[in-house]
Amino acid sequence: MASVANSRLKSVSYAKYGYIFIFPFFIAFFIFQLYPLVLTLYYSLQEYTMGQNLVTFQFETIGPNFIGLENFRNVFLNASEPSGILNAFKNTIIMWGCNFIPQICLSLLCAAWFTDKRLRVPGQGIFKILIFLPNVLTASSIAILFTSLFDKTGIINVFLMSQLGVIDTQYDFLRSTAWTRGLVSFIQTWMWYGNTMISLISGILGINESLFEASEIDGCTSSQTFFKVTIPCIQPIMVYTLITSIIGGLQLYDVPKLLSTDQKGAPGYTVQTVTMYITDKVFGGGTQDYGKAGAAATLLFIATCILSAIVFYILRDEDEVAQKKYIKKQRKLAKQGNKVSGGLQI
Amino acid sequence: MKSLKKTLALVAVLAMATTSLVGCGDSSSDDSGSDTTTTTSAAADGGDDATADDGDDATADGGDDTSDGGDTVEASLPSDGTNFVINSWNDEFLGMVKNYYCDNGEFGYDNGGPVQTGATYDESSNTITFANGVTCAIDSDYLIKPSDGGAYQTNLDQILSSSGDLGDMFLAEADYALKYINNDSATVALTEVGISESEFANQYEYTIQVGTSKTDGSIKGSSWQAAPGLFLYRPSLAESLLGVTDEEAMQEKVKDWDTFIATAQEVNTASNGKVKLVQGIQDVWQVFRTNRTTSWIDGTTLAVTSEIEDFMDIAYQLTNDESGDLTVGVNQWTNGWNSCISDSVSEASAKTMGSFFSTWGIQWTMVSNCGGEEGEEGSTYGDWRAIEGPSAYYWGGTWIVVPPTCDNADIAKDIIEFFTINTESMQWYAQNSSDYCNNDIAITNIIDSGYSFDFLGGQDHYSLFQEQVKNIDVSLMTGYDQTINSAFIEAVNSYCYDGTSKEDAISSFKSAVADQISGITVE
Repeated sequence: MASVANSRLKSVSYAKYGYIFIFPFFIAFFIFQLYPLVLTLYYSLQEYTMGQNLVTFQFETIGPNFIGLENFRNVFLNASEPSGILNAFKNTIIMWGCNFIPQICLSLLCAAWFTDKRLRVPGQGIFKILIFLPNVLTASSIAILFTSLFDKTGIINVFLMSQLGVIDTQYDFLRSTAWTRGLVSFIQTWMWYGNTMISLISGILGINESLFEASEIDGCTSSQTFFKVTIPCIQPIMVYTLITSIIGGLQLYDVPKLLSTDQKGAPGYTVQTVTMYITDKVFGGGTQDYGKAGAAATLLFIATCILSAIVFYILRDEDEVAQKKYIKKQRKLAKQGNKVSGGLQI
Repeated sequence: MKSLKKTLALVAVLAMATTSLVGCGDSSSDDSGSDTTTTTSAAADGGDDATADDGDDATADGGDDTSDGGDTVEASLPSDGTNFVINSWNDEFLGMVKNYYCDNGEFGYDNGGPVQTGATYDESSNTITFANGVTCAIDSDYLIKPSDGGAYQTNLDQILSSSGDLGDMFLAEADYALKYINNDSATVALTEVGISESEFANQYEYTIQVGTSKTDGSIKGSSWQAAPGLFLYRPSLAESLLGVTDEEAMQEKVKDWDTFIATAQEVNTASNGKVKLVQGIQDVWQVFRTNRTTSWIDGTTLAVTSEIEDFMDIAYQLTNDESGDLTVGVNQWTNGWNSCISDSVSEASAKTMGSFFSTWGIQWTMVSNCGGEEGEEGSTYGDWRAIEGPSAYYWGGTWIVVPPTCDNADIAKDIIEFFTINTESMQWYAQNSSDYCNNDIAITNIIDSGYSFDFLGGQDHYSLFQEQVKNIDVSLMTGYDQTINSAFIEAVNSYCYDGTSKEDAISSFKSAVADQISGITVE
């Protein structure tokens, strides 16, 4: 009897509750992520447009008909024009770069200060909140705020002219490529360095305290501790930050869209990002071309994958790779040895 | 274990990267009021009893008023819906229905309006109840999608592409009205709701022309306003800067584009750059575009003619004069554009002495942006006069259209007749709103009764409009005008302000259009 009870007890498994709890995520994932993803790849190979026929004036839907890589060819047809996709990629990468480099420096600096045992920054909580706060605001309201600040008749111009007297005619900041791109990068940096700082702090706090103590006893200066201990130890977190930033950066949309005066990347499409390009193909007021948008989205996906792979490659742990290689080599040698000795293990 | 972690991280990264593609699929929107169920039993429930009598009165009224139209047609669309659904991009039309069409509105029948409709508006439930008991609950039946970035059109297109419900009535602006009027799955001929074509006799020719389908020649859209435009200027500044004291002399100063540019230079120099003749090149384009002789699309080709290049030259001269920018240099609908017509701009900003506006722009945009009531500090109310300007043009206008999904033909008919056909109600509306209604008899009546507008210092600008409206030519409109115009303005801006060469600006404009409209050829 006891054995039956035992086997019964063994068969009680709580795993199904786990599955039940993660089930909603998978439903949402399949409906809102996987299905649109597959559909996008599918559309990128189809001719699928909706719009007014130029001759008959009738609204018509064409497709979906399979046309192979024709959409990709269409995307690249005007690619090097200001409104083309190559420029969209260029703009995106420029604005991302000008945002990411200052952002990572700033957040590393803050993270190092806030975790420094000797420095003991007073009022850390307040500072962390204040630094994180811009991230809580919506990007759109910040973009609107900056538009009104840097508008031709905005407060910055008024201040420069009547208070400082630096310029005597209004300067149209949002008609200048450098200024508009710079503002987009600035807003992104300002909004996200708090977020990055928090993840870097958690990375630094995860480092074994004894390493810092040892370095202190060995007479390290704080900059030496930072560069020789902290940075190498938080490399995994840095990789994570970089990858999420690349993904987020390539999808840059709301701030440049709202900051450009025609919402299509003014001045002269120089702040048009790839996602703005994609949405413009469907929701830009012209023909709704799902195929072209799908093709552009697929290109963005490929670019994201390639860039992430490059980052992984560059920031890999070289010691570990060398070690792995060594083990592999040894195994191979052992195998060869086996063959030589006729499969006999000596 | 380490490699497992790495693999997990990679998977997580890929899962995040996949989200970069999310949202590119075809999302068919179905928020367009699927609640317009067409069950006859429900209609019978809500329809009869309570307001049946009022309903009869209303339709009888409507019939009498439009009897000058002549023959009647039978509606072929049903009148058995339970709620009336309207699609629009703002609440302007809603305000008109509430204030004028509803008997208890501010200017409704109960408050002196000439036509009883039997419709009432209930503030507590925010619902309009029509004469036959059909309701329009504003929160769920008056559907607003803003027109910024083409969102309104996109929404309509999505409903169309999924064969969804477009409701009982929707509004279309001049820039894209043709796109829907020429599309038989979006709009029906107004005879199908029982309005005969002879009823449009008093409307201005060009509004009928826009409302007429190019596919079968039937009238499918009806506008309550005509939108001829004028050049507005400030007489006080004209006197101090140009020494001009009356309207004829000012007209002489801006009678064509050459004199316009010369006057702009004069204004800029005399005011030391503090006052400009016009707000921006987009405003000049507003005038110029209706005076072209070829439309944007010629067959299937984007036509960049010498006229277009002429405009670019004028824009360049206006913005790159030796004495600086002769315009305020602001884009339409920006803060700067709005504020420069008042006197209360900061000392750093320039203000404008003149402005191109059409009918609705004066009573709506200018009055609300001029800086306050007459005599108020910084206000320019009363300090404006209207003249013809360099050429006749029109700007905007809204057409009421009925989609095939309409199941309240009787109400659609009554509303359209009230605002766009019935002379009495239109005259009442025009008198109380200063809008320029689309009915020549009503306008003539208003002018004859001694019309004056105190915003224009007591000037009667309706007479000027009445002159201009006859010169409007809309044969150049295409359904993609809005898309093409916005790409063009960007090209002109980069030519005038960014130092881009004219050739580069045009070629970038062409490729932007080719990228947007499939099937169009650019040479």
